[in-house]
Amino acid sequence: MTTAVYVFVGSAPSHMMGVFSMREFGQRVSLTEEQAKDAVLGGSALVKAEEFDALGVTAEEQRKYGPFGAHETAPAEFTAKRKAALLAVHALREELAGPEEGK
Amino acid sequence: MSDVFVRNQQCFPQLQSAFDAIPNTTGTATVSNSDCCLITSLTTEAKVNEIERPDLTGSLDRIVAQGGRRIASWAASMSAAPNGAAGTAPDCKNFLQGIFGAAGTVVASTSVTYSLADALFYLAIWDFMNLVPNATQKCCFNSLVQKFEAAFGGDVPTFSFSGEGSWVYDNDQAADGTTPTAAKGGLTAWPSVPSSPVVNGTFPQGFKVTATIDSNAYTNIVSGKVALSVMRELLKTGNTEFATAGVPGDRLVNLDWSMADNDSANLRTLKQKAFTRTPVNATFVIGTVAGNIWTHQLNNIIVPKPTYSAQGTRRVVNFSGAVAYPSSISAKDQYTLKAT
Repeated sequence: MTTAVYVFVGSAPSHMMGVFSMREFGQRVSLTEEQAKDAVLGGSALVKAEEFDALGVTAEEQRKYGPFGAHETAPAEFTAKRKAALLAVHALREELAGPEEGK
Repeated sequence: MSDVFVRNQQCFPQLQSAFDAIPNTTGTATVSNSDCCLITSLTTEAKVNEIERPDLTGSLDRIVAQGGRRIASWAASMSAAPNGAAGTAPDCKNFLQGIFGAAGTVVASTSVTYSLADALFYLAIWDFMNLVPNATQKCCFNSLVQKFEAAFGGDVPTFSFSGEGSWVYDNDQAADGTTPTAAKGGLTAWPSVPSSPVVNGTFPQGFKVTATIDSNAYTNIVSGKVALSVMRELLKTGNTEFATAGVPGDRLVNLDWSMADNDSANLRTLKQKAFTRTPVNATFVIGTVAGNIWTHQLNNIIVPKPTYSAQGTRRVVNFSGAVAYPSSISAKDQYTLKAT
């Protein structure tokens, strides 16, 4: 079964029961294609790891602003990366959903 | 034998693409992990009216009645949780689409906005008991959303939805060969409870309310409730026990709110506008963290006459029973709900 790594970029928890619990921005999870589709169409803010890595979030930013509570006060540079990540979430959802589905 | 615990209840509201059609592929339900919406309570009730024979019998006893039309009702409540990722619809999106009459407008990475429209949407509301597959598992189909209430001011802001449906089909009926086809919503097999439902976000603290009423900001909101009712209904006039279609109904937007009383000029002006019946606009923002904020925008509100009560040592001023009106007939701009 093929799996791929996804990164969570939301600002509040997301759960796929029995599979993952996302508790901070930048958390990674390995999912099968079917799990990833269910999770993304179910509203989980996941992006493919390679797309996330291309955004250039540094380890220091991850440490400081990964926790959800830090998003409100994060600097503009990090917020811009987080918003870019959310655009990638939207694009992935559209890609997986087709014209009629998706949250 | 396993007991059934209410803690195991799960709700999967799906949008139907057509009347009488629980989402399915050649009879197999398509309910999946991605459809889940956490609830604090969910009821789905099938009802068959009893039609009494009205004739006199010559005794004090009645003759056995016969079954009447089949109907259903449902109600769901939940904490008001946005998705947590701005620009992604909340898990309760199908309930919101059902009551507003339109899907939310998504601005990627920014917002999802629900605005009033006139379309009818039918929901198949799956009412599962997880972990006990042989317990009664239900689906209220052709469900119309007739009422929505959003309450805030306490610790947990809440959403409540309710309405009527055609029928509640369940796995007990599915195992009974005498169940009429019309009770099955197009299914030929009963589905399993999805094993890994996806749920997102958390509620903003309900007391973190910033209100702008008549262009003045207030942070002294004690509580509030927005109620949207659209009295759409299912037609029960056909030559069948089952409803035959949905029809539109009147729309009404109500607002109640309470504030800690004070002697500010702005609040005095607001109280005066209640007596002069001068319409005002109001915005209630619940939450402060991006991805986790609800904004209720209500326009052309006729402010009700203030009443006063005590909350601890302070006096509270209550505005109860306000109605928000569209700017013109058919403008439908009296209420929007935005998640940002």
